[in-house]
Amino acid sequence: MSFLPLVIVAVLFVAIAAATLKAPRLTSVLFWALVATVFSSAALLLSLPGPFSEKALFMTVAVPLIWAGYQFWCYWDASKWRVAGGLIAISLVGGIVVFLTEPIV
Amino acid sequence: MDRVRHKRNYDLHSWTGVALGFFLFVVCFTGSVALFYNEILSWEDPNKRITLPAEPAAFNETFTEWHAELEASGEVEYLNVYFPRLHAPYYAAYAHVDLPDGSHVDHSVQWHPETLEMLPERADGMARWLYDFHRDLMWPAKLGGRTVGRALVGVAGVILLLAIVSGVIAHTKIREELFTLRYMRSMRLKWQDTHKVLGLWGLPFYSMIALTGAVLGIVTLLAPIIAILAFKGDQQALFDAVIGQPPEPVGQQVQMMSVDDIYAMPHPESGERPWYVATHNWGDEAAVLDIYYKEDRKLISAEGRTVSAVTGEPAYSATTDTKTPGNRLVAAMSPLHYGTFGGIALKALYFVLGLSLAVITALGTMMWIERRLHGNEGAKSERFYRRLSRFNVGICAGIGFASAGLLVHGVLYAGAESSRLFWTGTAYFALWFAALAYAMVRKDEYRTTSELVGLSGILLLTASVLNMVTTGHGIAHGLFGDGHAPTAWVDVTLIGLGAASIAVALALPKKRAEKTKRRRESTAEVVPAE
Repeated sequence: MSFLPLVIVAVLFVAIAAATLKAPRLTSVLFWALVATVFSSAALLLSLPGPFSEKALFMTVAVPLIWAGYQFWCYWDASKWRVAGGLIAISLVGGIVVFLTEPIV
Repeated sequence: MDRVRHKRNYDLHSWTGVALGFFLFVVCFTGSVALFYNEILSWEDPNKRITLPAEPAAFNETFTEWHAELEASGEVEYLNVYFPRLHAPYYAAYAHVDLPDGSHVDHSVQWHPETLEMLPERADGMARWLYDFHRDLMWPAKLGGRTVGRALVGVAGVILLLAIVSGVIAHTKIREELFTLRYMRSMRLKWQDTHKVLGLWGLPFYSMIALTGAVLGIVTLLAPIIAILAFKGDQQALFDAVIGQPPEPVGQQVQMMSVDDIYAMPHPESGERPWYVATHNWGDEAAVLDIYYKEDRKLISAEGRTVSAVTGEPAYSATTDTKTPGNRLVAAMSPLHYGTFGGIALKALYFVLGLSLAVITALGTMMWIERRLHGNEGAKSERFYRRLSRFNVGICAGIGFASAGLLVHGVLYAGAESSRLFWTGTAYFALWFAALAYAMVRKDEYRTTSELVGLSGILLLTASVLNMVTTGHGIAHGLFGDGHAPTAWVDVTLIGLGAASIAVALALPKKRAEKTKRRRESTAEVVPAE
């Protein structure tokens, strides 16, 4: 990886970390909810039983609901830190499942 | 629900509704217009106002000659042939040809269903603009292209879902609010009751339209990301898993079935003639045809079957196999969103409900501003809220004005076909910005709304009259003679909508009834709760 993309990634990382510390609920609804949606959906796609193409089709409809659900949770939960922490944890667990699991077609 | 949670939920509803209310309004309004793409398309182009013949002329010879010309120019990557139908009563073919120099060219040709003469070239214009502005905001290629625009519209669907859920939870007395319309009280109560009544009665429709819109929009961006993640970036493995391997040519040139024989292959159950056929490896021994039959009464746009292009015998293809629950579910999204499964009456209902959703979002913003201009909320100055109020009028009334103006522009446009879409877009934004600028300068939201709605009505009437004058296709000729009935119905609708807009403009109040002063400056402001 060349230098410039690394700098961009580092700046983004710091910016998101700072935004999360300053405004955890707002950063969660705008950013972490989307990240958690992507990783948890991919993890579900890999871990649920059934033909892959069929799961992918159902996931197409489920993704907006999962995303809206996470965003709604951001405002439903009384603790802003539980929201941010929960979404980051979901993203991490989803990422680990995606990393460790091979797709079965 | 405790008070703090209720406040947070209300903040979420306000935030989604106000911060993104203008965007939601634009998506809802343009969606209502986009429902009538087919109808506007034939209204827009007088050359396509052809009465559908009972039996179109044999097309195979014309098609074969045209295809031979394509083959001579390069390699035909894909080729679709559309057969005459009510809203597109002509033969049409679309092809993508890879040229020897590495470039490619897209062909789009239409033939008269009886004379088989090529119809005059007509580039995309008003109908395409109105349709695609809803689907992908006509997002410029320099900023990421239509996929980005489509994803943004999909995000509007997710925001709408959030606004609906938080709105329903915010209502603690749903049964009473369903039947409460205090039209003789204050302006704010009138707006508030209308917002709630429309929102609650239309809830199932709005939820459906939000979900299907979100699916159709963000699926183009998020679904591939998720699937590629699952396949660790191996896109080819992903395509193989989801859509299967495309058929490979064997390199043996053989005689293909006649397109007239394909057109004569009715649907096994409904007996309907094919809508269009997608060819794969046309001319090759292994060529297959995906034949699609339009479905106007089912939750699926088209039902497909795959056959050998040589023998006509059934063949398997993942693209036309729509029998699994997942396929059925995803295939239902588009007909559900665009109301294509219940005829023109259902589309009219969708139009009314779609416009009511636009009205709900506009009313939500108006209430929010009203509470700050004439209530005890809001931390900003009165000047700020006045400007916001004018901006709201400019955006909401302006888009209706621009859409109506586009119809007039479409009839009067006399420039080159290659520039038609560009000038259509330019006219659209010019009219919209003119309305917005007028609203900001006029400094009287009540009169501006009334004037812009009235002007929109006049433009709708003008468009209909201009169409009849310039083409000679009158309403009576279309409805009772041998003219083109769908076009006549568009004219009837334009006249009806134009008259209704003028009536609404006359009925709208020209000034605020109550003269209340802003009570106090407070620190309460709609920002996401932290």
